[in-house]
Amino acid sequence: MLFVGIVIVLLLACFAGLFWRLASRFDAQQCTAEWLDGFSLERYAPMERLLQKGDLAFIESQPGYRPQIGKRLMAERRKIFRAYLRLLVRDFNQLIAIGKLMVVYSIHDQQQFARSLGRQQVKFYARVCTLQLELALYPLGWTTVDAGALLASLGSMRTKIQQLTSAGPSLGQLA
Amino acid sequence: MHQLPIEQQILLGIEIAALAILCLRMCLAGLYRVYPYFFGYLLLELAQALIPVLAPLDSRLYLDSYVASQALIVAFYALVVLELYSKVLRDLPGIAGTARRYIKVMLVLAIGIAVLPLRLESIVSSPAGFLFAYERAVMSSLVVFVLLVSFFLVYYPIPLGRNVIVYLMGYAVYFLTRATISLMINLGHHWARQLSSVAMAVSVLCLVFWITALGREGEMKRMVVGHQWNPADEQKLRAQLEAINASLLRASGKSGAELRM
Repeated sequence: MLFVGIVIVLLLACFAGLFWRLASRFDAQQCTAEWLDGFSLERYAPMERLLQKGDLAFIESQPGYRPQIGKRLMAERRKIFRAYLRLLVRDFNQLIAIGKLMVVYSIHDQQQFARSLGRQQVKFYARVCTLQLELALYPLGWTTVDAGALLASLGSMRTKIQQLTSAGPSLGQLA
Repeated sequence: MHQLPIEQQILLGIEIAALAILCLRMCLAGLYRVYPYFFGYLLLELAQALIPVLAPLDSRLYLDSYVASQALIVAFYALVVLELYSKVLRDLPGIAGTARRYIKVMLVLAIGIAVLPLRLESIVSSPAGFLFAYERAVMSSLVVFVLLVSFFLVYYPIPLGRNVIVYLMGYAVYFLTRATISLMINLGHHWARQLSSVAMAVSVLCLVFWITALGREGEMKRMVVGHQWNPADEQKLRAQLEAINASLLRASGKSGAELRM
C-alpha cells in the first residue's frame, strides 16, 4: 500500500510539473535571427588554452614565485572556464531550441533531423557532466580538461541547422 | 439509486447533472464536432449513470448493464486519448514521423508497465472480475501513456490550444484515480463503499473542471510563455521564422535554394 502511495505521489508530481511546463511554454521570441547572426564559435577560443599548463610553468619560472600564486591563478582560471561553460551550454540550448522550432514548423517530415538533434543533445550534456567532473578533480592533479569536443559539438549543431534550411518553413498551422 | 449509500446518491445526482451540462456546453460551443469520441464517451457515461436510477443494485439487469456499458466506456477512454493527440499533432508535417514513432514506442511501454501488476491481482472468475482487471490495465496504461506523451509535448514547441491542456489535466487526474482504485480493489482491499465514493467524487470534480474550463475560444488559443496567443504574436512568430531562415541562408552562402542534409 505504501509503495502504491509513493508511486501515485510521484506520478502526480510528474504530471504537475509537466502541466506547469506546458502552460508556460518555450519562448520562441528568444530565438531570433539577430542572435543567430551574432553567434560565433570564436568567442569560445580562449577556453582551449585557459587550463593549459604552459602559463603556469612560465609563472613558476619567475623569481619570487610561491605555490599560493599558482594555486590562485588556476582557481581563477577554473572560475572563468566554468563561466564560459555556462555560456556555451546556453548557446547550445538556444541552437537546440531553434532546431526544434524548425522541426515543428517544417513543411517536410524531419524525423532524421529530430533524431540527430536528440542524440547530439544527450552527447553534449554527457560531455558537459564529464567536463564538470574533470574540473572538480583538477586541483587533485587531474590535468586533462579538454573543451574541444564540446566546441566541435556546438559547431556541428550549427551546421546541421543550416543544412535544414529550406525555401521557407510551413506556417499554415499557425492559422 | 435507492440502495446506494446516501453520499453516493448525492454524488450520483451531481454527476448526472454535470454530465448533462457538459454535453450541452459541448453542443453549444460546437466542440462535439471537434472531439466526437469525447462527446460519445460523455453520452455513454450519462447513460451508465442512469442505470442505478432505473434498476435495483442487486438485480441481474443492473450487473449486466453495468458490465456492458463499462467495457464500452473503457474502450472509449483509449479512443478519447488517441483522438486528443492526433488532433494536436495533425497539422505538423515536420514532426509527424517523429511523433508516430514516439507514440508507438510509448504505447508499448505503457502497456508493458500496466500489465506488470496483473500477477499480483486476485481476479475473480466472473464477467465483473475480468472487467475490473481489464479496466485497471487499460487505465494504468493510459496514465503512463498520457505522462509519456506529455513529455513529448513539453520537449517540442508544439502550439497547444487551451482546451487540449484542460483535457490533459482532467484525463490525468481521472485516469490516475480510477487506475489506483481499480488496483486497490483487485489487490484484495475490500473498501468498496469508500473507494466508490472517492471515484465518484473525483469524477464529479473532473466534470466540473471541464465545464468551467472548456470553451470554443480554447480551440484558438495557443499557450506560449504562459500568456495567451493573439494574432499579433502569430505575425511576430511568422516574421521571426522567416528571419531565422534568411539568416541561415546568408550564412550558408545560398539564396533561397533548398539545402538537403
